[in-house]
Amino acid sequence: MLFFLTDLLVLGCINSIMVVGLNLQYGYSGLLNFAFYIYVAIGAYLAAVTTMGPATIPGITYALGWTLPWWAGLIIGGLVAAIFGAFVFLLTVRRLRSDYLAIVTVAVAFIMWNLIDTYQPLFDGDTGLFNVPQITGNASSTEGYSAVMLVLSAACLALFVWTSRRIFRSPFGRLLRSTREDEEVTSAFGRVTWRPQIAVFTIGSFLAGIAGGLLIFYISAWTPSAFLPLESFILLAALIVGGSGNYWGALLGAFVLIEALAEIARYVPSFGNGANVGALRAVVIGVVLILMLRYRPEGIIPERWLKWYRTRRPAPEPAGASALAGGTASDAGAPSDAGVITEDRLPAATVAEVAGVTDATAPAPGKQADAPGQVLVDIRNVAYSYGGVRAVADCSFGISRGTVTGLIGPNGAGKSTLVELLSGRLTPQSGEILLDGRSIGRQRPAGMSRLGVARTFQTARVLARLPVIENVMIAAPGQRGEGPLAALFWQRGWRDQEAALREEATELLGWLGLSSHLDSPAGSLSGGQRRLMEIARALMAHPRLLLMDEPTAGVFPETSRLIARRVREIAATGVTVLLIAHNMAFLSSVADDVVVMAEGRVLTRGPLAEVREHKDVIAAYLGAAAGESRVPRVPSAGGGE
Amino acid sequence: MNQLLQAVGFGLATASVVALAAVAVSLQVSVTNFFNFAFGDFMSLGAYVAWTASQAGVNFVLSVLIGGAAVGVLGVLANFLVFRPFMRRGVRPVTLLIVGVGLAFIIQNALILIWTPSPRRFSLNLGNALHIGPFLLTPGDLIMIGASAALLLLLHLMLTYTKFGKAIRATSNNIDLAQSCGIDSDRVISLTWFIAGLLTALAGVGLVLQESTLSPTTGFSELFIIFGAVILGGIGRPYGAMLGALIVGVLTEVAGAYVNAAYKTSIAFGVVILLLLFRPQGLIKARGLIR
Amino acid sequence: MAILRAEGITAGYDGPPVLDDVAVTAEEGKTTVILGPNGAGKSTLAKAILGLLRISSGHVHFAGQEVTGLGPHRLVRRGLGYLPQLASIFDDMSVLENLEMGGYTLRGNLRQRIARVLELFPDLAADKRKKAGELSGGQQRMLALARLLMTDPVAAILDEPTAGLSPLYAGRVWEQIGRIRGSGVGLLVVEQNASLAMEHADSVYLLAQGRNVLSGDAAEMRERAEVARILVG
Repeated sequence: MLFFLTDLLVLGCINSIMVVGLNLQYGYSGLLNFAFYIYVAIGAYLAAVTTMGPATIPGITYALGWTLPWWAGLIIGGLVAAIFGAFVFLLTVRRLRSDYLAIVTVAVAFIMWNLIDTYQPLFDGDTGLFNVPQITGNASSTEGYSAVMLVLSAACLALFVWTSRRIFRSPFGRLLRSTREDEEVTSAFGRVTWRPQIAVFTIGSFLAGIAGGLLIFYISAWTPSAFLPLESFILLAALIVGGSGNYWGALLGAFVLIEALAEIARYVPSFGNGANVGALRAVVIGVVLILMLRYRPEGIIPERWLKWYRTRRPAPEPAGASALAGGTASDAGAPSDAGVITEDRLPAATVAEVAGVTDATAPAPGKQADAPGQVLVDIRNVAYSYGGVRAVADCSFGISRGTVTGLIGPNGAGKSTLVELLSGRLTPQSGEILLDGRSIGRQRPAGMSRLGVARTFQTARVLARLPVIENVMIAAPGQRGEGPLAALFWQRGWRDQEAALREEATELLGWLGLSSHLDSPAGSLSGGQRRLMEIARALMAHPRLLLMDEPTAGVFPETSRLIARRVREIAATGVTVLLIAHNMAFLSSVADDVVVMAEGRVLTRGPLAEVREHKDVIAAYLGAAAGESRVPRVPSAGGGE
Repeated sequence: MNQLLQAVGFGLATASVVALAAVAVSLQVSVTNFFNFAFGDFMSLGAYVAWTASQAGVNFVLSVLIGGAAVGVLGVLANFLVFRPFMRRGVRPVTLLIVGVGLAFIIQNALILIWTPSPRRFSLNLGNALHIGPFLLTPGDLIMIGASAALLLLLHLMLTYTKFGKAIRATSNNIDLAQSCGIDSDRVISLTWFIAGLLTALAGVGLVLQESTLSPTTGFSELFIIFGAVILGGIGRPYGAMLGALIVGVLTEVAGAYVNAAYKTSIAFGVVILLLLFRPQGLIKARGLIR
Repeated sequence: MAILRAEGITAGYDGPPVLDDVAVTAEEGKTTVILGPNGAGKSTLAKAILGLLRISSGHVHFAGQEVTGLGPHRLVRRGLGYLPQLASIFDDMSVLENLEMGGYTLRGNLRQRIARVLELFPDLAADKRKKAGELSGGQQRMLALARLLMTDPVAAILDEPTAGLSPLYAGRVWEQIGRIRGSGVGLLVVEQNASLAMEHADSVYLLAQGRNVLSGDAAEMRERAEVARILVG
């Protein structure tokens, strides 16, 4: 009985290591590695052929045939699997839709398996390997060996769970999860997204390899299973059912779905035939998986249940609106997206960075305080067409530092396209854009972010499953700990940084009235709340230039007033703001001056009150045809008029 | 040279089977915009049903039709019970892929439970291979090629000249506008699944007859060759799929003639990988399914 | 006579309503135009009437019957046609097939009807076997109108029919709209190009921030100065 239990636990631990590895790839990063099991197989084979010694039985052939100690074989298995994983990932670095990526991983795995199965000299083809030496050198009894393996695999599991946990709580983990939720937003805040992905793919494959090694040392034999895809599928199902994105879910899935189910299946009467047990198990797993995906896609243990998702510091008690200075109290009873405002000015950290004033007496290099009055952005004769239709045509104007400039114009005037050009999402087809005298037309969003440009989107884009506070923290530039090595081995380097970031983000969110939502998944925010969050996020990036595309669309009037106040306060610290808006009440309270675009060009410019009465502006809004065709909306921009 | 031409001949026979399945997949993808991983197992199921019927003494052609109808119905049910509820909620393509795989394993293992995993013999002995020009084909191969060509022609005629066929094309081109023309897109999609299921089952029978053995994993192993054909021809383009099947079929056989035949499938997989990486739109331009 | 009437339409979920108690009426044989500045809710209103969007309250009546929330598929069978703003043709099918699809719900031989429709669009008749995707933008829009005509509607909703067109084609579109109106169809047209729309409209509704602001005969609306002001915002 004890042996039975031990056996169960050993297999449970080994399966858990696999699922934890898969969780790193799929749960944390959203990379579906459908052929995960081939990495397990590789680890197993390599562990075997490096410890078995040369082939002695006639008819059996395999590569290598070294006699290294078991731990070396185990590690080599893990490393080779990791390298293979990295190689497969690099193959697919080219952008593929997520399900096509999955297909490619399966195809690669199948080819590998076909090779192993057919090419005898590699791993003895379809006969497989037998008599793999035990780690205790065939010295112990079955029960004893089980116990030894249990200790070893449990230790490995503990190590890998620790690794998982450390990664999750690090900036590296946050970067992975952010990429998983919205890769474009993540790179809009300056990150290169494929690097953390390849790192996690490699680490996950390493875990698979180790699990394979442990497994082959335990059962002493391995044949290329015809059910390779089934094994991968079961691992994936276990992860999804248990709860992807967190290691507890992975453990639960491995022990419950794989182990318990296998044991229960054994006891079902009239299914004595071994193959039937496996088949029944697969059917049950398939059904459970589909049901879970339909009704509880987050799994039994959703990611957001983790204690990590609750802010360490309790949200500050709102002292009551009247206690705050600066007239931030909202109208009693007026509906608003914002909750109570808990901060009445920008966090000191944000202001210092933005204004270029640091603790040292001299401003940090490259961060001269933006003196108001000078031109920060110079747009010169920029043009851009979508497939034959000219969205922006010979557009030129300048934006002065520290000002809030409104960008208005009838539908199809090219306003959103211009913002896309400024943010780097599009590249001008002619003309140039200068930021502080430096041409930036060719920069992509990640590069623009590093030059100090941040933006909000026409339809607010949030990282839905991450808590609001992490949505904001991700935007901070230059974080330590975003690489796997730093995350795992140098916690000292980023622990204080995390606390500081959290502090700043909390203050920013409080300043925008979202302090009671710090830990809520961003996907649960209303449209207006998302817009407020986007502002906090953009400021966290300490930008010099803030681009806002319809920041008040769909918000309550009360919130619109709050946003107007906040934008003025932001500009007062030296940030330059360009915003697209249609609401004239909002614009009049926030913009210093307004640029009117029509049909891709600048029509006129000046204070809002003047510009509204300008006869050419009125004509443009009325659609009096001026001989140029109107343009379609910017693709992927949100709906609306 | 002789060997090459013979391989081309085998390729044609393979292609005729792959074409039916590839066209089915393309049709279904064109109206629903995701790859259904369970199609391979649809093929297996069709073959098993046909085999069971013929073992019970039913006329061969009728058995095949019964198999086809069974899978057609399964396709409609799969859409209604499994896929459509997900699509209504708007999920990521990855989720639909996983659901399809789940369904594939359910079907595959249900086959094991019902029919046991032992391979069965399913063949029609119609005579030995004949020399047709430079090719070496059995009468069975020839019938398959003929039947496949005939079915595809029928499909083409339906799509081009019947009202319903045009409704399918309209739905796959622009589902919202199709609705504005009064086309019931739910019904169109259901019937497309039926047709796809039917064709897939026929392909499954053809496949099994070519290999003379029937086992629960038969269809699943063919899946990538079929996907290769679909992608090559441009995803969602049934006519492209026919061309893709021809190319993939001939290519794998020719390559298999020069390299160890056991690697045939790997070559197909390799083709799929290269395609997805370097030319996901296929040889003929496909529509909007690429990122 | 009022053929299409929408009342009390309110829509919007997690913020201020996108449409707030909006009412519009379209009459048989007349062109009713809906104008408004950016963000006014014009397209949203059209979609709400067609049942493409969930509304929280309000009713839509067509030909005397309640049709709230039915959806374009059922509405077109009752005689209410729809010209969407984007993707308004089957670009993979030929011009002729596009027209056939327009007549999908009609019984009997379509050939006569197609011939009659093509008489109104001679340019399309010349290209009838061409694939619709190969036509120019303006011609595609004309095809979309022809397709709409094929459905033999009693009334129709057109969502920004002149969007993206050159002044020449915009004029042609309005010409065709005039002809359709002349045959007795009631038209509800959402438009961005206010001055051109008001030239051809019979009555005008002006929306702003999801509410009815002004309405009346086109003739009088053309004279009112506030219209321009409201359109600017």
